[in-house]
Amino acid sequence: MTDPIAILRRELVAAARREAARAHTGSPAWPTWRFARRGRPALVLVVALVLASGTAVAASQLFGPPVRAGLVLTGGPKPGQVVLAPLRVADPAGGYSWGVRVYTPKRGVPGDGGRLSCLQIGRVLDGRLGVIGEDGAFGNDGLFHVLPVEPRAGCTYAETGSMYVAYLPTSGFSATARCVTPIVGFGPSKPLTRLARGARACPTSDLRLVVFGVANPRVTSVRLVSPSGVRSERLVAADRGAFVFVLAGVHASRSQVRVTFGY
Amino acid sequence: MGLRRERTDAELLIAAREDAEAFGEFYDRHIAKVLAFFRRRVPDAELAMDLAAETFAAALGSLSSFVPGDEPATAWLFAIARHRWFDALRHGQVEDRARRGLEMQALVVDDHALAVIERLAAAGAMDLLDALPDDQRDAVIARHLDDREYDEIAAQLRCSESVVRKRVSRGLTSLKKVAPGWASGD
Repeated sequence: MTDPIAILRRELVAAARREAARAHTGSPAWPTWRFARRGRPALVLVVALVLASGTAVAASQLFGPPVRAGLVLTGGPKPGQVVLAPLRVADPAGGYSWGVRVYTPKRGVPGDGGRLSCLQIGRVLDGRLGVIGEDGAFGNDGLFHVLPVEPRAGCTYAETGSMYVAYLPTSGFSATARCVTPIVGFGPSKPLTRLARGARACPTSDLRLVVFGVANPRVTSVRLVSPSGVRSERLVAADRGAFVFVLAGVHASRSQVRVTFGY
Repeated sequence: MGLRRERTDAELLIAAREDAEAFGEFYDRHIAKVLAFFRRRVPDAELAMDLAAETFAAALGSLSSFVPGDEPATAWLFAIARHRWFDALRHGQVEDRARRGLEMQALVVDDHALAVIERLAAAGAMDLLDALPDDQRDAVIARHLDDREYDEIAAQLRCSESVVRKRVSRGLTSLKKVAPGWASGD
């Protein structure tokens, strides 16, 4: 059970201490970790070495400010209906796993019996869903930025067996990346760039092809066929039907990505 | 041993530039009222909490610009609250610029947390009213919280309708000095 009043107080007092320390020294109160995208595996290695030496590393030193909350189009989650699914998917390059947050939105479709499920994809650290500061996100600070509920959730009905297929940057969240992710369905040609001034297309090495959705409760396994080969996931009840596959940024058209369900 | 005088709100805000706990104390005094301010304006407790969090973060970020004056420190705080409210209305979402600037973690709200917020918001509304003289408080509660008509209130209080109207008006004026915008519909 959480006491948000006490938690907010704690956050504010901690922030006040940091501000007072900055005012005294003119420098950040906390040591900050700065890693470029290529150095991401080194972040994990350095943390492991420090922990092994017995030096305590405050979890807050790995966290940066949270991702900006967006417009809550679905009215946000129904109380008690938000869960970070226990499933974890390894990234092809290592580092923090990918995970998915599942929730039932307040504002569903009238008459649908509340069966709509919304999903948010991101990287996972310390039981929280978030975005890594790389690919131009958060100035490539290498820190972990918690993702609030919405923006950019995908909502679907489990009965339809539908899925989302999208390119995401390795940071985990396309809205914060400085490069433009292609749209699936435009074949193996060069990534489509949206007409954003100064934007560049994300190089393939910085992309992940993410396939995710919600299966109905009777499904016990999900199988993915893609240009990268065949993969399977077993579902557990705690995942609430959510499934996620994360592939290296291989070029693929929509018809080349197929999901089948096992019962 | 002498008794330690309780610090005023203005003293707490000045002290908070060096002493983080002073800001915590200021927060303790006013979180309920700020929650009540927003809860009257938004459809759910979670939004009210979001706005309240951004208000206090913005207040913390603006400590260096706070100058004690004739108006109570709460007027400064509620001016920030109103700006946050207008920003949310304009943009269709709650800004979190101040919280990001202070590197604060996002709040995750569950069912229990929502109940805590609702209780505190209700208590905050009553705290503000308790600051009024009895006759003004009773009149404001009857008119604006119980939604009763002036003639009905007058009959119960055994006074004229114009007396009730004056008590309500004076009560709202007093509330506006402490929490501008709290008692109005803006």
